[in-house]
Amino acid sequence: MKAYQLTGPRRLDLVQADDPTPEDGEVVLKVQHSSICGSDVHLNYEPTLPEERYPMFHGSPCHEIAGTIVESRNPRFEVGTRAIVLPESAVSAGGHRGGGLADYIASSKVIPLPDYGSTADWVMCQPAGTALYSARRWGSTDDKRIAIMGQGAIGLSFTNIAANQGAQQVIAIDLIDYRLDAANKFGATDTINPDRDNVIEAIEEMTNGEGVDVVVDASADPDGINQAIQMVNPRGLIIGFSLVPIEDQVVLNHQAWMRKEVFIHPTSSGGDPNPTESIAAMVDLRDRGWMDPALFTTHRIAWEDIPDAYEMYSHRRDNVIKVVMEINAE
Amino acid sequence: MKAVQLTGPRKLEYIEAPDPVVADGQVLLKIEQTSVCGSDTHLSYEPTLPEERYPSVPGAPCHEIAGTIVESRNPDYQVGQRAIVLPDYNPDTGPSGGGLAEYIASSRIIALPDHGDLGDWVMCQPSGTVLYSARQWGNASDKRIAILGQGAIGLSFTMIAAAQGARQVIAIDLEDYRLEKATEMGATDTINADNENVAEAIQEMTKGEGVDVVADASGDPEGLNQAVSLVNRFGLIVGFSLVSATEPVVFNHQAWMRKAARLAPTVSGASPTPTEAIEKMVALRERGWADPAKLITHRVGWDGIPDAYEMYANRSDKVIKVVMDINA
Repeated sequence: MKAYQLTGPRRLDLVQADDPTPEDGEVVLKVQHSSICGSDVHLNYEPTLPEERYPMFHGSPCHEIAGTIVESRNPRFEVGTRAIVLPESAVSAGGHRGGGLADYIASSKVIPLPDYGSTADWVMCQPAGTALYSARRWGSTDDKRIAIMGQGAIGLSFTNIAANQGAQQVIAIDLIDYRLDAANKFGATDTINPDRDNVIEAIEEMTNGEGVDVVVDASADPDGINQAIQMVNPRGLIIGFSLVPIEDQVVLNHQAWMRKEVFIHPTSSGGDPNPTESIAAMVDLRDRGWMDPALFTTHRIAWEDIPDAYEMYSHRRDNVIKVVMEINAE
Repeated sequence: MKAVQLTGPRKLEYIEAPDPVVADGQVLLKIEQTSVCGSDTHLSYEPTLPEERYPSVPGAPCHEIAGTIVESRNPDYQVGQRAIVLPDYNPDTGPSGGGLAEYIASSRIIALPDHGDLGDWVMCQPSGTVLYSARQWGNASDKRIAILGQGAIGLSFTMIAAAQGARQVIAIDLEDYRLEKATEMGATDTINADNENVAEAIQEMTKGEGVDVVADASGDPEGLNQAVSLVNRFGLIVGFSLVSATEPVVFNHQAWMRKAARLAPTVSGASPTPTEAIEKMVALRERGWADPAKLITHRVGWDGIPDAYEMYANRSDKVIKVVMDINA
């Protein structure tokens, strides 16, 4: 099969690889559409990783993957079913076994998709589903004011979910205005650009002095956690989503955190014992018309332009939010 | 002022009553639109109450009330402001008034927007009390929720669970017209308990996952036991509807203990801030998040009030929610 693989910092090479062999419980998916996630870029594509991480498995780094099952060794899933799959983790290699930048992938983590609509749209339920998983930590919504740091595809998913769940106020924060425009479109009741406004003062004003009960950190900024502690109400909740590269030092304002008695809830849907569940829930919600994460898509990319797409995402060029890549025609 | 009051079982009489006196912290509301609640009929209008409960205060039994403030002794609210009010309640003398009258004095005030019909806005009162109860289930997105009873309250639970993106919303009632309304309000599945075995239907609809939450809006003394039998082990039962104090409720204690189901009784009106959840519902309706005005099936004028209570008590004419025009 054809595949890309990461062979060094910012280097995606096109290779010919063996088709994957499914183990018991796995299916083989013919990949039709994949999408780039911030973690692919910030944790894998950009940094200089230890030598043993290169080259990555065929198709990596890319874990937002949709297509059609062409072989099944799992009695729950039949050949011909369309699905999202999550790559199996390859702990020894520090990454994923297989990825979305290839014709095929074998996996046991399968989320079936409805028969209608394009896999290019359904694949967006993968990132939005992981945000749904994290959003459950805030519990009830109508009695809470929620601020979301970072309005990339994940921050926008939180904004959209909070607004749809009826949060009392949804405050979207980003340094880039086109992302705040998108946040307004997806239900933010207020937006703040920290380049222009003092965030703390703006929150006080917007909430009539009530402050925010929940802050979601989707900023990927090593200082995000400290900013969240500063913003949130005493005894409030911080939901951590974005991962900071392991090479980046994070200095925690320990005393500020203790004095505010802020609860910090880190979330990582992929590490849950049942990592497909919240994505299946998002697929159902999209099917019901409750939310459409496909609207986050700003770019559609052909197979040969994939290396350029990673560069665009890395540099946040061309007002990019979410890039869908066509691996094989539907 | 003109008013209606309850003078005996199922007896509403038109009277002339003194205008209410406005105390410190209260406003005087000129009532425009009010609505009948199940508790008005089942706990007050229908039963034979102790002699001292008759006649009711002028305007009662009716606590879903919207109008315009015409006098204010509360610095937070100005004359001309449209509002929902909850009657003040004195343990000795009962409610400060009710919605079946020209005026009511109250300190429990929920401001309303300037736009839109007050008959529509008054629906945020019952739905707001449900929003309060629904907080018990936390985040809906990982929960399958069944709702016993699809009157206006059960339908509000259905509407809120669906709007919050619950994993599944299963509406249960004995009346098909109410189940049709439930589908309109966002139920993913419906069960008519007259035609189907409810527990089996739930197992099938949820592919064996069962329901994590059961809300009891049935008004039925047996509702709590049904909820215990339907909910998943370690699940949650949210109690909403009140059973008349004269009806014995026999509780299947051991079934409950073995299920280890949590029971969360909820009475928004008894909370320290009974206006708060209603304010949230007003704000959510203004944002277009959900519209409880969809529950209205009937509108009547001042002269139609006794008929409206009869209709509601008898569930005739496919009634769900009746709005009464007090003073157009």
